[in-house]
Amino acid sequence: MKCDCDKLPEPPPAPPRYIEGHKLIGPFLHATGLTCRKFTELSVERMDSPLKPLSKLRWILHWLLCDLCRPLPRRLANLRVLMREVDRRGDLADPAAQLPEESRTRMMEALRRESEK
Amino acid sequence: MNPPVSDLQPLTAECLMGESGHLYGYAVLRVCDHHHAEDLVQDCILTAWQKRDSFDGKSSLRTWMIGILKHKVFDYHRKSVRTPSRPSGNQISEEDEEGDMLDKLFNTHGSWKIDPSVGMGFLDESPEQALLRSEVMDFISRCIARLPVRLRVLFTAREFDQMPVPEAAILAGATPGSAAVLLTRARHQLRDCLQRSFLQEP
Repeated sequence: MKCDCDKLPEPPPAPPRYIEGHKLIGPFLHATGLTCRKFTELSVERMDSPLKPLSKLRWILHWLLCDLCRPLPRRLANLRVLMREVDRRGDLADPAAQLPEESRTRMMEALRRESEK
Repeated sequence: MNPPVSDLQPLTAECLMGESGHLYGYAVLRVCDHHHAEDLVQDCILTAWQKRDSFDGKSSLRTWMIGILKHKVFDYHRKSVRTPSRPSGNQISEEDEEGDMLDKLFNTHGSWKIDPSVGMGFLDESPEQALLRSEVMDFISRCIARLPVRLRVLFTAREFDQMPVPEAAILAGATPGSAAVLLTRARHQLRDCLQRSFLQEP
C-alpha cells in the first residue's frame, strides 16, 4: 500500500525562537553529535535496547538543552501505550479493507458445515 | 464496539459472521496479504464457533474474537519465520520509495525543519484520556495501514506481539542489523502521519 500522506497537511515550520537559537548552536550540536536529529534517533533506539554510555550522555545533554525535543521521549512512550491499548481492545483494522462478498459466502458455508457436525 | 452479549443469548453463526468484516480489517493490517487474511478470519470464525460455550460476555464479542484471531496471526507469523517465503521482493521494495523520512524533518545541521509539537497534544494526555477522543483510534489504524508492508510487519510484530527485534526482523524479511533503522523509520512515519492527521482536524 502506497503512503498517501502527501494528501495530509504539512506541519508548520519550527518556531522562530528555536530557529534563531539553533542558527547559533546548530553547528556546535552538529560537531558534537548532539543534534535534534541524533536525539530523536536515540529516543527511538532506546525503546528497543538500552543506549551505550556515550549515547546516553549525549541524549541526556540534549534533553537538558532543547525545549522542542524534550517532550519527544514521553510522547513516544505514550504512543506505545496507546497503540497497545487500542490493539488489546481489538479496535485496530485497516479502514480500506473490505471482505469480498464471495469470501463471506464461503465462510458462511464453512460455518454451516461445521455447525452440522 | 459491540455491546457484551448476555449468557442468555447463545452465539449464532450470524452473530459470528457479523464480525467478519472487522476481523478481516484487523487481519489485513497485521499480515498485509488479503488471501492469508481471509484464511485466518475463516479459521478464527470456525474456532469461535467450536469454543462458543466458553464466551462469557464479560468482554464484547468483537474483543473475544479478536483475541482468537491474534493467536492465529501469531501462529501465522511464527510459521512464516520458519518458511521465509514472504514478504515478496515487490513488497520489500515499497519502503525504499519513501525516501529518508528524517531528511524531510531535519536540516543539514540536524535541527528541526518543522514544529514537532503542533497537533501532538493527544500524546501529552494520559493514554486513557486520549482514547476518549474517537478520532485517536481511527487515526492510529489509518496511519499503521499507511506504513509500507515490510515496515508494518516489523513494527506490529515488535509493538503488538512484543517480539524481540531479531525475531521481528526475520519475520519482516529484514536483517537484524537493518531492523533498528527500519523501526526508526516506521516510528517516524507513524509520528509524521499522526501529526498531519490531527492537523487536518478542524
